Amino acid sequence: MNNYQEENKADIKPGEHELLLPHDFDGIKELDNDPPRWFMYLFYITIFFGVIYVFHYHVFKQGLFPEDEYKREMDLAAAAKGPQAELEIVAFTDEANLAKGQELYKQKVCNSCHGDLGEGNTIGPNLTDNYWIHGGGIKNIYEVIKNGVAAKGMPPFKDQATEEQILQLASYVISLKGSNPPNAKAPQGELYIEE
Amino acid sequence: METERIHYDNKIVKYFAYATIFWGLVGMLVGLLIALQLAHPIFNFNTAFLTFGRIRPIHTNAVIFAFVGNAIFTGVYHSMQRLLKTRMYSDLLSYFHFWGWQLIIVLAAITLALGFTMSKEYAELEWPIDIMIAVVWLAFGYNMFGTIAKRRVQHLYVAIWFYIASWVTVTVLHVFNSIEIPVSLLKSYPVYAGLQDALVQWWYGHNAVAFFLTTPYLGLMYYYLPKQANRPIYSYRMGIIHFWALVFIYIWTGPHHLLYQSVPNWAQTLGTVFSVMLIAPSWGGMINGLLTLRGAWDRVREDPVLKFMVVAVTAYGMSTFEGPMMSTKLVNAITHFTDWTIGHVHIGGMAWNGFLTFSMLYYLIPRLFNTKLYSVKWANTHFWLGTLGILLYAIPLYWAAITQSLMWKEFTEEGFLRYPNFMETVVQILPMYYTRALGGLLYLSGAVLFVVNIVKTIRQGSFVADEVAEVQPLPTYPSNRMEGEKRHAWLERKPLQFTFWVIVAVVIASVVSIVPFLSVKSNIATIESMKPYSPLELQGRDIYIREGCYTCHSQMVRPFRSETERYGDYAKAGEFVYDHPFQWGSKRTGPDLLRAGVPGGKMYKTAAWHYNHFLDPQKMNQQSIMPAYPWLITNALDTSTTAAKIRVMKWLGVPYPEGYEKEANKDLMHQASQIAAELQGNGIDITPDKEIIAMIAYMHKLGRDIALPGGNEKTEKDIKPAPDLLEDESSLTQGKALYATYCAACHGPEGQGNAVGPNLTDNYWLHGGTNDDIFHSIYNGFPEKGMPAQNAMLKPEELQKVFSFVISIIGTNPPNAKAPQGEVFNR
Repeated sequence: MNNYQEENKADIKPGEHELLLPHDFDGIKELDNDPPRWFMYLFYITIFFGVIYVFHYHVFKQGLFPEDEYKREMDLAAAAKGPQAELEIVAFTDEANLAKGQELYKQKVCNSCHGDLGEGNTIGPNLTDNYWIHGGGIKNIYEVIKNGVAAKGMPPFKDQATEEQILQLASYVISLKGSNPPNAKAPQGELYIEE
Repeated sequence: METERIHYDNKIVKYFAYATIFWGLVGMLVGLLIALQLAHPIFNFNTAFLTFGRIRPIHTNAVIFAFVGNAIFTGVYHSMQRLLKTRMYSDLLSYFHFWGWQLIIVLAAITLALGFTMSKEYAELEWPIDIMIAVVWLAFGYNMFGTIAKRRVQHLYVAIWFYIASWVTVTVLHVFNSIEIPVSLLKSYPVYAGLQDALVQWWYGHNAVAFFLTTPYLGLMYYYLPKQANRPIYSYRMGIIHFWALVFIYIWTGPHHLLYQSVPNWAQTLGTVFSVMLIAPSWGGMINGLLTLRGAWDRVREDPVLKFMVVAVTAYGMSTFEGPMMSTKLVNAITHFTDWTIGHVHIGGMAWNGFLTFSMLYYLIPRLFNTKLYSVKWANTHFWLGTLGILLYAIPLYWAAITQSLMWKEFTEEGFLRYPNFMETVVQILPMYYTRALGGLLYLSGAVLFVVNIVKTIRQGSFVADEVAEVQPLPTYPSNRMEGEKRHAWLERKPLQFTFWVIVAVVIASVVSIVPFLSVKSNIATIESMKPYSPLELQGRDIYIREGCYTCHSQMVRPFRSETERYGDYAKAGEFVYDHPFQWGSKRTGPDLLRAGVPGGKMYKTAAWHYNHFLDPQKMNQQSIMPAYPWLITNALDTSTTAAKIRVMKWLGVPYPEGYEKEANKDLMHQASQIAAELQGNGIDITPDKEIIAMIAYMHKLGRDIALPGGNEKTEKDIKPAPDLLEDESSLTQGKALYATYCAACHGPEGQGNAVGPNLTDNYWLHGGTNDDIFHSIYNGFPEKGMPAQNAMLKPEELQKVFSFVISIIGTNPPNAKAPQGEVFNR
């Protein structure tokens, strides 16, 4: 005998009988309630929103489309950016600035191409010897970090760091000279002699 | 009236139920694996077929099509027989459907693991499987409509409406999104490219959610919820309103996946407004379900089956409110590409689909086996494990999403990105990834308890394969509307008319939102400097697709300052015209790669960097969660496919020169040896025949062309079609005189070229050699290269004359001709 023979009698509460529709789908009955009023209003409001939205953007052309938003955002950013103080390119030698440089070396992931200790790897050159591909000395190194060397994959950092930070980083690189780390890459470029 | 004894087929229901349970466990287990992979790359096991990029589509396909799919069929085959008072139309079709579907799932798992993928989300399967899906789906439809035709009740219940709508729409979606041209048995390219492909894909992708995960489940809810609660449906009229509104509105919303991306603004507007209009129609299902429980809430407290249903329906309501909010530009700018999307779909998947499936099976299995559920207590424990699992899954992901999104967008006072290194934003959310995996584990352990409970229930019962029912024959009604019969009531007893109106509702939206893009080319602004992929780049792109790189890396820089500062110029529709399929992606677990090939750009990396990074990402970036791809370095590139690929691409309209498929591998080898030489120069031991070489070529193609001169968008109206060629002597003489004045200084008196400008008399052209191309070059010039726009100096008829003269000197072989430049174009 089927355990579930008796279940098809729906539980109808008092007062629901007059709302009952003459439907019976495998024992499922339906009531003839109206949808809740708030539900219908919600539907109408969202349709109204849709109409307003279309008119706002496409008929009255009041809304900003993504490209216009972008233009506005960039203009605001340009206006907010004050001029940077002129920086004299002289290597830092004090500990505080060099420590900041070291921190930046890690933060900007210089190690992925130049090794953890500046020893160089298959991607980038050794930074600890006296040989430089684009010239040694603080001015050249500062320039390379700032503007990058597009053809060789050295990215420019001028959009990621302030001039002072770039100088700290360059000074840190200068300070690596002669540190003789293990697994150092063979020298590349030309011997640089301080003027 | 005489009653008739018929037999419901319970065996097919049991088959599908078992398949649901089995694939459910598989899908959740794979989900747990990829959750762990995101927390720590060690779980990729350095094995190709276990890496995230290949496993993630297996998870989504297993859950959507294997778990939810089989659950739909379980419920449909069970409820439909009873709602229509008949056995299924054909047992043969039923079992063909069952075994066909399981075969598709197995083939899907194997091919995806092996890297055969279209890379279109939830439509990844390759063309032979797409055809099998269509065949099995048609068999299901035939069986369903056959069953409806031989029914013994006049009116179709609301659950059946939802089944019909689901079947019809999924058919349309699957067919139109899967139009693809085979290259080989397991490789094909979609006919759509770039923004067209994106629009079609998300028209499909969104409606797969709508008509596979939502409408069939609303049908199931309309059957199992009143059955279990033993209460009448609250409002018949509400059912009508929300059914039709849902079917009509859902289809339009696809572009909400593409806000701020390279699709036209009007498409984005459609995506937003229809999504917002969808709130009430979606909620109609939730409200009707919850109000049906009025007067039965005391039972909800004790009955785990009802508890599962209540949470499922409530989660459905939450998700369908959250979705429209995410479809507004305001919210989308924050949530898109983040884990918010992942949280959102898992509320839908785990709570709505998962919990409703569990409740259905808890209801169904004891009835199929004519017994009681083995342990209500275990089912209650399952409920709490599952609920806790969902919360532990979703909350950390929402948190992670907001955290990461704000970090992406934060600027310092000096106007720099606060976190220019993408990695910093990933490291920040790793703890949330671990917690999410824990949530998944809890949910899975609840499911294991469920399986044990079900097995014990089955053991104690005895299966009723052919359930006897006593039914009355179909009462006869006139075909036309009867006196006083409501229009919809009439429609409910006319399945063909009913289906017709469903098709109309679905097709209108599809036609309006998709067709303009397929027929009108001028919707896409062209970019002069965009070149088709070189053969090596094309092969590299296919490896990118094979490895599922798009599951973590977008190629879609949106017009936000925080994105152009991080990645480079924002994306333009015209860049993607050769992209079959598009690779915009939907989630950024790693950085966007659209500008990875712009030399000197923010995302550019050298070949040596890429080599080392693919070999061991953690060496380059200790905290990186990217899997390693060592096999790219050992695998030889399969160049036997190059010709076929170029041929298909040409057929799809990519402008490779005539007969190029024969030359392609020569160019491929040339480019490969250049890259290999560069790597060797860095001390890397590699030969040019390896897959990694193609991958690097593709990386360096990304965004490269648009960064060249001429990389601006040109709309159709800037492009001047060539005027008719003049051939009479006097015109050509005048043309020659104009040429001497305006052109000879840079191109030589006889067009032979000189140190400044190229030779005009050979068959090689820097900017294309068709008449239209050449006229366009004359008309607009290339100011960045020193070629002035003659349009500014000459009248139209003068332009026509000088143009005719230039065409007339092609092939004249003047002395001292400059060596050819650009690409060959044979007239």
